[in-house]
Amino acid sequence: MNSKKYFWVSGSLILIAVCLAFGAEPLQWSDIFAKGSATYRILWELRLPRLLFVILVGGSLAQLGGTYQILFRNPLAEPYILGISSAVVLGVVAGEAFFGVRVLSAGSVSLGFLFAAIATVLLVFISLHSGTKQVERIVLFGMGLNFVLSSVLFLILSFYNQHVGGGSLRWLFGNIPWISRGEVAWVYGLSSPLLGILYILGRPLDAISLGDGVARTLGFSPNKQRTWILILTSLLLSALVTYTGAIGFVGLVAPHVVQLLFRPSTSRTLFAFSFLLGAAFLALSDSLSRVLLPPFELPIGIVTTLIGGPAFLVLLWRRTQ
Amino acid sequence: MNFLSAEKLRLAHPDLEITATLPEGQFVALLGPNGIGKTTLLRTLIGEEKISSGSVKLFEKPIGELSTKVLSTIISYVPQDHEYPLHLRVVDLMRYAFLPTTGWFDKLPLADDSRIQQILKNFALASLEQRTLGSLSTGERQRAFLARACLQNPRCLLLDEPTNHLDPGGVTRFWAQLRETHARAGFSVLMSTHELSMVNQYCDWVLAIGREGVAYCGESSGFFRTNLAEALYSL
Repeated sequence: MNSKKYFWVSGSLILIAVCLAFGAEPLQWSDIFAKGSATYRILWELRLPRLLFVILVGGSLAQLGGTYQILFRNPLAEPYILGISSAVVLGVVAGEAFFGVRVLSAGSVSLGFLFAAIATVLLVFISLHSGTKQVERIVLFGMGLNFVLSSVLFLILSFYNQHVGGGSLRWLFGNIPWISRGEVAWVYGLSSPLLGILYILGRPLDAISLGDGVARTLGFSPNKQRTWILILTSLLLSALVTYTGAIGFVGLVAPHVVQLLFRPSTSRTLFAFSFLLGAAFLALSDSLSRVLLPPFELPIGIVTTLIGGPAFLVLLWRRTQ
Repeated sequence: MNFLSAEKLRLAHPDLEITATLPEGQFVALLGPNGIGKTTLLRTLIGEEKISSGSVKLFEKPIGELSTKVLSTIISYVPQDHEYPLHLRVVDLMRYAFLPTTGWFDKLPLADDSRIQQILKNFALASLEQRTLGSLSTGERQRAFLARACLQNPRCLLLDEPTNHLDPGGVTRFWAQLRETHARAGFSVLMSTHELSMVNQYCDWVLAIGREGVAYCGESSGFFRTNLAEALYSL
């Protein structure tokens, strides 16, 4: 790794560690190992699980975005492009509106997964019956799903807004919830193998980036592998979105920043750097969301866009000089 | 051995029958008017399109029996509109030529691998090694795609109108480069093209597809002695 990479990698890791110090409550640094003290509880029982969760979400969204950008050979692709997240959101909101299922409860998470599973099955069907037009068909179908599911969502919101209050409405904007250590553990348990497999699948993605025909002559089966990646990414995305709603920006922009800064030679390298940068960026955004107007937490989707947007534009501007 | 033998081959779309045999090691031009099925034929050979009826064999093995793994050791392909990641460096594109032979848990050869450096030199890409594909001119990029395909060390190289977007200088250089690599490495080449003057100069063999099926399959000198070209393209 050259010095530029060292700088960004260590910078990201330091930033992530420093985020532990951010929060609405000031910490007594002498108390960090004193069990029972307020500082101990805040740091180890609240902030650390939250930070671990934020790292997983930010990193996964970035890796998912990179995956889709290569899989569909489209620089504007991002994790929500296929409508999976819309399905999850619809499931969660419908659950709250019609059945009083509280957001973030086990029932809510299950509903989210259920709706996502239905959307995934539809996408897989399209994927298996598209022949050589797989990329176009999947992306267009995903767009269609997004439109349809969003309209149903808005319909529900307009009729049921008295039942949908601080719960799912706030969550809709993209939100990092305070979840328990047990929940963090189970999400990591599900996500880690998926992230690992998707990392390994960076190899066929290298070939796919050169076109399906070329990928075939490089020894890969683009159609089959695309279907598998569809299923795996869908599962990963569902696990996260049921907790956080759709946090925008990270999935689209992080891979581009990595491309511009590092010109990674393979997809796997892209994934590794994207995960790290996405994790650090979301950790920073989360900390800022809690520190700017305490004790109020700004919706994280707003913070990511307000900070990330201008930063990204500056990076692009300097590149064109 | 014959590199290609098609027997009453009917492809997915255009409705004509192809029966032809191509001996290995030849630089073959695939000629025919637009829409006749040249691209479909090439795509069928790499497994992207299905066969309607009939059969086609590559190096004596029926296409249907060749798995993708085996295919990757035999063929390399340069499509008409080659997709490429904008930010991929030329040298990394060369490394991708080793994807068929690198295990999923192994690393691809590094940039300073002698085979990669040699191909960059042969194709005058050494000075462009660190440039991204998006920053190259069309001619440079086509050269890079060709270099990657040659680096795969195929038994046959399939190209689909690779000089479409090149200026006359680029066209000449591409043909010369391909001929030189073919002479050195000895693989079979099947290239669809419209550049008859280049075909006359560089190709050993011609497979011409017309509206009735195969209009000509034989040595290129034979093709140019007749007026088949006029009939083929309705000149």
